[in-house]
This record gives sequence, C-alpha cells and structure tokens, in this order.
Amino acid sequence: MIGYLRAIFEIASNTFKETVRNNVLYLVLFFVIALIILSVFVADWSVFARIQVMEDFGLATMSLSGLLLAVFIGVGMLGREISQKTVYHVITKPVSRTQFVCGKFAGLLTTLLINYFVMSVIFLGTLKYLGGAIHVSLIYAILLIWAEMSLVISASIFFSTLTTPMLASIFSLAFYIAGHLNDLLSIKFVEAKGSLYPALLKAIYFILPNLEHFNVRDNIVYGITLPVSYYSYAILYGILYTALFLTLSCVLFSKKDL
Amino acid sequence: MCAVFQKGPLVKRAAWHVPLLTGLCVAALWLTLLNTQNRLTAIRSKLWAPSSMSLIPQSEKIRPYLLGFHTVYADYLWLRTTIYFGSHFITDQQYKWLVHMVDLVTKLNPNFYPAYEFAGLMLPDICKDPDAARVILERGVSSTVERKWKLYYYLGMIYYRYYDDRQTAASYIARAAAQPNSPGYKLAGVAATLFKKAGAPEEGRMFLEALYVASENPEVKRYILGKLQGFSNSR
Amino acid sequence: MSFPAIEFKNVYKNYRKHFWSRQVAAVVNSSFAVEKNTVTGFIGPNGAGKTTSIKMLLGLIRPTSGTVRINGSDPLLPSARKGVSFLSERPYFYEHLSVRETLRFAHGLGQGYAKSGDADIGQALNAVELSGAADAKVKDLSKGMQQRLSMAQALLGNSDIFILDEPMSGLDPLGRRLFREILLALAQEGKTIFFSTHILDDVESVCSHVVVLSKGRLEYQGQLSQLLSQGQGGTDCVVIGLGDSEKKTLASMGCVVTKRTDGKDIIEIPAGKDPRQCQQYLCEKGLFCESMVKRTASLEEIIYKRK
Repeated sequence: MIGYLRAIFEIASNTFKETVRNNVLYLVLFFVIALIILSVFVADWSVFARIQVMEDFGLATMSLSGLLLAVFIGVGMLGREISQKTVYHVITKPVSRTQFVCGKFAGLLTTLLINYFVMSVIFLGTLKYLGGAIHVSLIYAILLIWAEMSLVISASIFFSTLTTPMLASIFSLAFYIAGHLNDLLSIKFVEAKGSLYPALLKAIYFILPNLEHFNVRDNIVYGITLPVSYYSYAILYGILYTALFLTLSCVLFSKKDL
Repeated sequence: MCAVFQKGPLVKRAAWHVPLLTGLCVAALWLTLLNTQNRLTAIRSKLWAPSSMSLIPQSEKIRPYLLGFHTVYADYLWLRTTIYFGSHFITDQQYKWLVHMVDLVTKLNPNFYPAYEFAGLMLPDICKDPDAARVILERGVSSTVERKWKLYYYLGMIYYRYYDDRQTAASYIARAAAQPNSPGYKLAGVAATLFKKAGAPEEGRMFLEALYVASENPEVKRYILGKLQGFSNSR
Repeated sequence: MSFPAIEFKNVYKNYRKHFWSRQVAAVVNSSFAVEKNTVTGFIGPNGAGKTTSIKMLLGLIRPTSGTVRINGSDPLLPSARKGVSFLSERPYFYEHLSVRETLRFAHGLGQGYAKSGDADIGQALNAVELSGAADAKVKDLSKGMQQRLSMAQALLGNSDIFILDEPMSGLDPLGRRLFREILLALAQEGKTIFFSTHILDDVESVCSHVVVLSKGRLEYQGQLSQLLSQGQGGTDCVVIGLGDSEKKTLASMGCVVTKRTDGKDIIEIPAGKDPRQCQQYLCEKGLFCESMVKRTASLEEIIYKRK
C-alpha cells in the first residue's frame, strides 16, 4: 500500500514541478488578480453597494479562473503526455495507469489549490481593505469554488483520455456551460409534454453535474444564509463527482493503446 | 506493410471480477451522487435567493465604457430584465429594480421596441408606476423605433386610465392613427369618441372629416361617415 | 519453474490509424522466446513490427490475440515491469526537469526514492559519461546526450532485463563504442538484453542471439553464429603464376579462377568443397598459395538474401 501511494506521490511531485514551471498558471493568476482589482471600479458603476458587487464579482472571477485553468492546464496535462510520449517514461516502470492518472490529478490539484489560496487571500484582503467584512459564508463560498474547480479539472482529465487536446478543451468548456445551465433543465422537464422528451431531459439532468449547486453568490449578496449542511453536501457532491470522473478516466486510460 | 486482417486465437481475458468491482463502485458513486443532488436541490429551493444585480449599472453613463457594444449590452440587460420579472412574478411579486432596468435598456438602445411595449403594458399595472411608463414611452416616440403607433396608443391609454385626461389621451390616439402601419380608421374612431367624451366634439369631428377626405378606401369612408353621423346626431 | 525472459506466442497485432481506415496488420503470428542471460538483437527493416512488439512487451499496447510474457508475467501488470529497464527509440523526458531530477524521478518510480538513490544516480551518470551535465535541463541537452540520459535511467535499479529500442541512434562513434561496452559489461553480469537496431555491425559485435522480423512476421530466431554460418560462401585462395592448363584443371574441380588487378590469380573454391584438395593440387604443381581466406557474407547480406 505504501509503495502504491509512494508512486502516486512521485508522479504528483513531478506534476507539481511541471505545473509550477508553466507560464500559463501565472498568466491566469495575474488575470484574476487584475479582475479582482478591477471589480473595485465595476462596483462604483453598479446599482448595488460596492462591497456586495465586489463579493459577487470576485467570486465569479475565481469560478471562471477554474475553467481557464482546467482548459489550459488540465486538458493539456494528459493529452500532451500521450502525444509527446513522455508517458512512456512512467508507464514502462512498475507503475499502473491508475497510479499515473491519480498522481497527475493530485499534482495538478495541489498546484491549483495553492493558486486558489493566493487568489482567495488577495480577494479577501481587497475586500477587507475597502471596508467589507469577511464573514464565514464567504469562506464557505470559496470552499465551494475549490470543490467546483476540482470537479471541472477531473472532467477535463476525463475528456483528455477520450480525445485530442483540442477537442477535450471544447468539451471541457461545453461541460462547464452545460453544468451551469443544468438548473434550467429541472424546469424544462416539468413543463415538457410527452413521455420521451421529459425522460430525455431528466436523464441529462441527472447525468450532468449541476454546477449551480456550487454557486452561492446570490445568497451571499442578498445575505440569505445557507445551513452548514448545504455546504457539506455540496463539497461531498464535488468530491463524489471528482471521484467518478477519475474512475472513468482510469478505466479509459487503462484500455488505451499508447 | 500489407493491409491484411489476420485472425488469431483470442487473447486471454482479464479477470472478470475487476470490471465487475469497477462497475459496482461506479454505480454506488452514482447513487450517492443522486441522493446528494436531491438534498442540495431541496435545501436551495427553500432558501431561494433572487439573481444578483451586481452587473446592473446605475445609469447609462456606462455607455462609453462598452466600446460600441452598448446595444449588445442592452440585449443582455433585457434578458436579465425578463428573468428578473419572471422570477419575482412566481415568488414575491416585488419588482424593486424593474423600472430601472427597463429604463436603462431603452437609454442604451433607444430603438429596442420590446422594452417600450413592456413599459406600456406592464409597468403602470404591476409596478404601479404610470409616470415611469410615460417617460419611457415619450422617449420612444422621439426615436426611430418601429411600430411607433403602439407607443402613442399606450400613451393614450395611460392618460385615459391613470391621469383621467381624455383630451390628451384622444390626441395621442389620433397621432397613433396617423402613423404608418397603424389600424388606421378604427383608432380614429376611438380618438373621435374620446374627443367627444372629453367635451371637445368639434375636434373629433374635424379629425374624422380630415381622415374621410384623405382616405381612398370606400370601406373606410363608409365607416368614418357612420361615425360623423353619430357626431351630427348628438348635437 | 524456469521460463524464458521474453516470450511471444502466436501474437497478432492489428490496428487502425484513423476511425475510417482499414485495419493494418503490424505483427502476424509472431512466436519467439528470448532466454535469460542472453544478448539478443531484434532486427528487421523499417515497418517490420519491431517497435510494436517492444510496446506489447512493455504493456504500452495490447496484442489483438496471442500471449506476450515478460519474466513469465503478463506485461499489462505493473509487477511484471519490476526488474525491467527500457530505453526508447527517442528520448521522451520531461523538459522542465534537470538530468538529476529526471533520474531521481525514474529511481523513485522504480523502487521508491531513498538517499542511496543519489549514489546510484551518480554511478549511472559516470557510466554514460554525463556527470558534467547533471544539473542541466533536459531541453538543453543534445540528442546524443539525451540518449545517454536514457541509458543512465535504464541502468538505475539494477534490472535483470534490458529492453532497448535502437539504443545507438543519435550517438557519435565514441558514444556507440561506450554503449557497446556497457552492453557487453551487462552481458557479463548475466543480464538479459533485448535490443532492436538497424546497425547490424553492433549486432555482430555484441549479440549472441538474434530475432529477425519482416513485414510483421518472424523470419529467424536463434543463435547469431548459426545465422552467420549460412553466409559462409567457400574459400578464396590467392596464387601467383597459374598456367592455362592448371586453370582448366581447377575449373574441372569446380573452382572459379579470376585475375586480380595486381596480376595475381584468385581461386574461388565453392562452399562445401574441401580446400585441401585444391591445396594438394597446387603443391603437386609446385605453386605457392599466398593466402587462403574463408569467404563469409555479412549479416546484412544474409538478411537481404533471405528476402
């Protein structure tokens, strides 16, 4: 068991080094920080109070950065390994493909969590500097964004085992959009007539994750507190979907001819 | 290399229990996910929050910063308006920002007809704000928006229903009748009736006579003649 | 129970390049075995299926049918790759790592990183004469240096089986000589070496056994000496002062006499004929045989002749 985990740790460390030395990471971080600072000016234009706008805008930016990181780094990670054949360096050792995928994910997630931690500190710092209060629901909202990001990253890794990096990027983007629009399906299949169409919509609703469960910005902006159980369930939801996508990725990758 | 597909003995299959265990794990994960999803949906539906208004600007002063995309932004704003209206209609029926949003759409895109129609039909009733509707519609009639006759008509109805000013209502409806693509003589009849009820029958009669002379349609002429006879009978 | 180090049994591999393309047979009914403690050359022209076979051996691809075994185990299992080192045709390393980091990573995957790993890494770098570039980034290395790095990571972990896919490619003559010495040293230690190459001189100088593939099919497997003996083409004898009558007699004995540019005659004694018969005749005639050389074909000639 220790040996099994040690190989995952080695791959994760290597992936961490690779991601940290990737310029795209810093570009996205810079972009997000710029947007968080820009939100101060956007806040002055809005009908809402400045702090509320900053909270909303800052959280939205962090959520979007997860998508950017998934598309630019997550998809390329596995796809590039396969196309450039650096995967041979690892798979020809006594390391299983499952260990490889898990190690890659763990390394990428660690880098991105550190990245998000930096973003969160800057976001909360800016908010505090401008007179806002750092209430616990903000922290919960950030945790949900981390859970969402982890899910999106695992989905992008899943897509990269299926197809080329270009198509996997498109699928990841479509997945993110569809996940956030999934809420509308629950309305649609109640209204829809017939038996096949509502059943199809219902199937799509339950297969695709509902990423709106991680979006609590409206509740924060309007001061409507959600119970702690909601946050626990949402984080569990994110972890379960991540585990599901990783399992499917491992299964697909183990069948793949390299 | 020749493209020949060669058949050979089957490769030894992997142990059967591995795919079975994997399938069971995936199924268990899935069921737990469905359960969690249902719980989340249940909690959220009880603690519903309206959609955030953070990206709704205070005024049209944002226009220069939209870099020429003010009409696109107006379209986005209109979508948000309809969603805002719909979500509040089925919940609390409080429309705090509705007037502001409709007003902003028409300021950013003065030719955006649906916003004017919404203002004329819905704002006086649901927001209890005929003044706001009037201001927005008056902005519309001075622009180059299509179906302008409807804007005049809505203005006429606002003055009639909410301000009890039949003369002004009649003059707006008369202007609606004179617009291209309007129902024409039917509106003229309404205008004339309103003039009469406002105590200015002469104005109504003059309006109908001018319309009679201008029209070349015998049906229209017959209708207007009938209305004019009504004016004569009531003298 | 003893089993070969590498075994292919009725292996077929078909694949499609694209979704709409037809299936192509890369390996067709290949069956051979590589015994332990041997150095086996895996040779064949381009597109023979060598790399495909090596990939199946390492679990990178699955055979369409048939059985592949390495150390008696299915190569798809990670445990089968314990004690196996691989050197790929082209070096596929992470460019963001340095040489030392690459080897630490390889060492960690093989047996888990330990402090003793640094000593092993130092030894491996010395063996391939790459110690001076230990802290250089992989992307800054030349092809030859990357190939040496490949060999260094293959030497880590004290493996028993070495699978090398064109190890000499990209190397200068000094590098090739170094690699040959490394292979010979490994062979002396009793390691099993299975390497594919296009450079047949290397096969002749290093290998004891050879496996020949062509168009996906096995052409020959066995000892190299046996294969080379197939190319033995008789004996050449250089003589001065052969007369016409002697030439006629030699021709009747089945020998062919040709004139060399320096005026000397060459008697080509055919394979299977005892050269002593010719030697005896020349002695009777008082003629002196300046040199007598066995005429053998090179491995390249033997292989091309088999087509």
